[in-house]
Amino acid sequence: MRGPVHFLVPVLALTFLLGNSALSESKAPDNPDIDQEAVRLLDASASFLESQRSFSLTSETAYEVLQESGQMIEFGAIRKGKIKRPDKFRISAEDREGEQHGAIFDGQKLTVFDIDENVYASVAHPGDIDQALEYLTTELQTPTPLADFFYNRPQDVWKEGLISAQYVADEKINGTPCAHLALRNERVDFQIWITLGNKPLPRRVVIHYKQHPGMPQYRAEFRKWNLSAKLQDKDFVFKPSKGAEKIPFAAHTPLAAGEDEK
Amino acid sequence: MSFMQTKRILLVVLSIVAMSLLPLSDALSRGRGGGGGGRGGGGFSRSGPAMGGSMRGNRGGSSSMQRNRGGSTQRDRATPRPDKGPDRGNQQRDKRPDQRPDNRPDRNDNLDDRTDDRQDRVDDIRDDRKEFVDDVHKERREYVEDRYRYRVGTALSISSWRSLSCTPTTVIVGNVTYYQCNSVWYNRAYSGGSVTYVVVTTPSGY
Repeated sequence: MRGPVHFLVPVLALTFLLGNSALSESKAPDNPDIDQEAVRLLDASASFLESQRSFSLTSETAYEVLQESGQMIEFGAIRKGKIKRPDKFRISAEDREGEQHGAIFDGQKLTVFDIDENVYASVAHPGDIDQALEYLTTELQTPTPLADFFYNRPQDVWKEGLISAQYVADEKINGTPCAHLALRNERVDFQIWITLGNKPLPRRVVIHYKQHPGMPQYRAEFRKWNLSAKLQDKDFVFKPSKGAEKIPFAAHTPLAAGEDEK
Repeated sequence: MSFMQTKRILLVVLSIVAMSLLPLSDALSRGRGGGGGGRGGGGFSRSGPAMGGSMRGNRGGSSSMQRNRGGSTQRDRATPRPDKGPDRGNQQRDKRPDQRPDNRPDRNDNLDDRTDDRQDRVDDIRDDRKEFVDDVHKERREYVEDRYRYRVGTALSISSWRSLSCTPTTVIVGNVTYYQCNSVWYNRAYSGGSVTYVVVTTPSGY
């Protein structure tokens, strides 16, 4: 009997070690890069936001663009969002240069508009907010900053491919005590400041595009959350202004002769 | 030293001082925008990956459209992306059985091992399914990125359009407005979240 027992000991030990290693990859508790308190706060904030059936917010945003000269230049905008779950949103922005534009979804039709050019483009895309935002940002390649905070299930977006989550410190953002979290996925590093207390709303986010030259940043401070916004369905119906021209999305425009799709 | 000599020396000194100040004056004027009016927009690119503002990386923000620069616009083809093999998902899935040890040396004697093993297999299947779904989503995203990167091959930003050396002819065909500049036809269209002038086929009848 002694032989088989001796044989089993290293096998079981190896099994335990390798099995434990596999578990640590798939489950967060054994991963030193994932701080469970940070994840808990992230989940709490996402769940709280998900539970808000309608809300509006105003944010002050900025992003950096690396110029050919090598200089990093910042641009910015005031961005506003109105959300009525599960299938309506209105996002508008006014650049620091004064240009106004945005996107509206009423559950059936997705419209983007540019007030200064007095044009708009619409496409039928019945579905919920998540489906509309996916279509807008991937198929139509339309930058929609802060859309991550409008999804019906924000935690799916926030935690997508998460490889690190750390609790940096408790800090104040515009006087509001917040938990400062540092998170990473393969594409970006980001920091988020979440209000401490029973309304864990995000107050600030900084996103580092680490895969790109100069690692440009996107920064946003959420100045005003209105969780009791009285939003009507008509608030999400696009009404073109006088003389507005409807134009197509370039993705739907026929190519010129000789321009192969490749 | 005569008065004339003194005057000549003074003129030379003044000339030297004036010449030495010229570069400074030039530099100052460049600093203010080279006398261009100081209204900005001087060739700075407004578009880059960070304009997407998403924690998921490039989502509509990969465009490198030069809104205030001349020339046609193209998307950033140099965007680094993780390498993808011919069938990465299957490779990963195929690797798994080799990585797992044989932890069933004596199944009849060890019920706990059997239970653990079953759980491991369930976890494996769940992991495999998640990897597969993630791969499908990733492949689709990359396909969409590639497709539209080429599809919007020639598009002018508004400022580039305004800098063209022609007076465009405007023609309305149906509900679509066409613009002709020299022999090239354009439509206005949304590309990368901005209004652009896209090269299109000649409208029928023209």
